[in-house]
Amino acid sequence: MRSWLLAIVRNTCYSWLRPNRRQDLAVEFDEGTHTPENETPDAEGLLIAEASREMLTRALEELPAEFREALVLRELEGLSYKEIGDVAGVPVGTVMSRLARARTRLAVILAADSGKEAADELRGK
Amino acid sequence: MNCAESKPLVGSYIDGELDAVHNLEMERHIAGCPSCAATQQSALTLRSLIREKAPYFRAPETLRARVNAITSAGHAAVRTGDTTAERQPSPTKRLAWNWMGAAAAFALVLVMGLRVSNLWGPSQENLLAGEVESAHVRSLMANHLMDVPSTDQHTVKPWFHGKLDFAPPVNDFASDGFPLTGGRLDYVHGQTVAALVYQRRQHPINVFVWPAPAEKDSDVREITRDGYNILHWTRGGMTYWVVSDLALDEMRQFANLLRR
Repeated sequence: MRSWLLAIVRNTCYSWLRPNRRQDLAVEFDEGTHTPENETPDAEGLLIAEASREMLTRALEELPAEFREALVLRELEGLSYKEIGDVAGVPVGTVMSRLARARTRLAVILAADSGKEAADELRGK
Repeated sequence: MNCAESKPLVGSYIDGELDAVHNLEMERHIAGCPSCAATQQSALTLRSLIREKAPYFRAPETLRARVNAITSAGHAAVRTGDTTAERQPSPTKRLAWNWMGAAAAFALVLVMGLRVSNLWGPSQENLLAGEVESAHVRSLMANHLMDVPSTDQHTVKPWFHGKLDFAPPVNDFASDGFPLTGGRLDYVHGQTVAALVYQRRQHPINVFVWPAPAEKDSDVREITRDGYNILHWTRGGMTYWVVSDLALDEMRQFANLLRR
């Protein structure tokens, strides 16, 4: 019942977004900007832990909608892959790859942001 | 299990979504691999960061009232004018309210700024190769290789109908030693793509197909990463990415069949 309700909300939300923000739904992530040559989220653990509320919100906003929804349903709503698949109308394998991509991208964005803020501080901004 | 197999599964591992066999393999691998242990640690850090600091929106009171009015418990209370039910919500009503809060929160997160950008970085090929490789590794997990297990191209091809807005070419090459074993939907390059699964002896081969209308036909390009061979090309408005742990000469032979 919970997945069912969430699926309704999701569909309603996307139908509302489609005419209003058509551009935004054709989400293409800018891999060139956000993914460095070597993805090394391992080394970024420390930087990520320091991320502020604002930085996290900003980073989440940068994710494509399908990635953000998978992450939110998993981490904030605690849904299983099967339930997320039911809500988003995709197979479990797709949920798995979306989550994996979402997490990597989020880590990369956060690490880049942390690096920037640290650099700004050093420059005395 | 090696790192190339372990890394893409770290997320599913911390989510407790792996089957027993892979779970055990991950446990063993991470215990002996500092690099994958660090990946797991980062994933857990990211998780607690999201859980502690991500914005979570609560639905307004008015919405709660309206939803209660249409759920059965709320309906009964409204009909009978039972005001005590309002003060002491029944478990059903509390439950409905929790769902609603979650649903509203989720909707707001979806609407929350969505941004578009379309610039391609210089290493698009590398990034795609990484995505395709991860998708391949993930697909080898128990029960995820195929959504439609069938050796019959006339079963696999129609299965994609209605699930994709394009029709991937599906052919069986059993007579050439590359039998079709099934298909599934996967997610690569920010879109849902067709994944066709072939078998060469004990080696599964994933063929990812998606439309590339703007791109000209291209020759086969070869990439080797983490012990996997990846071949890709564009032909007839479709982009093909083939990945397997097969030897390169057999990969080329298979690519020639697909391009025939």
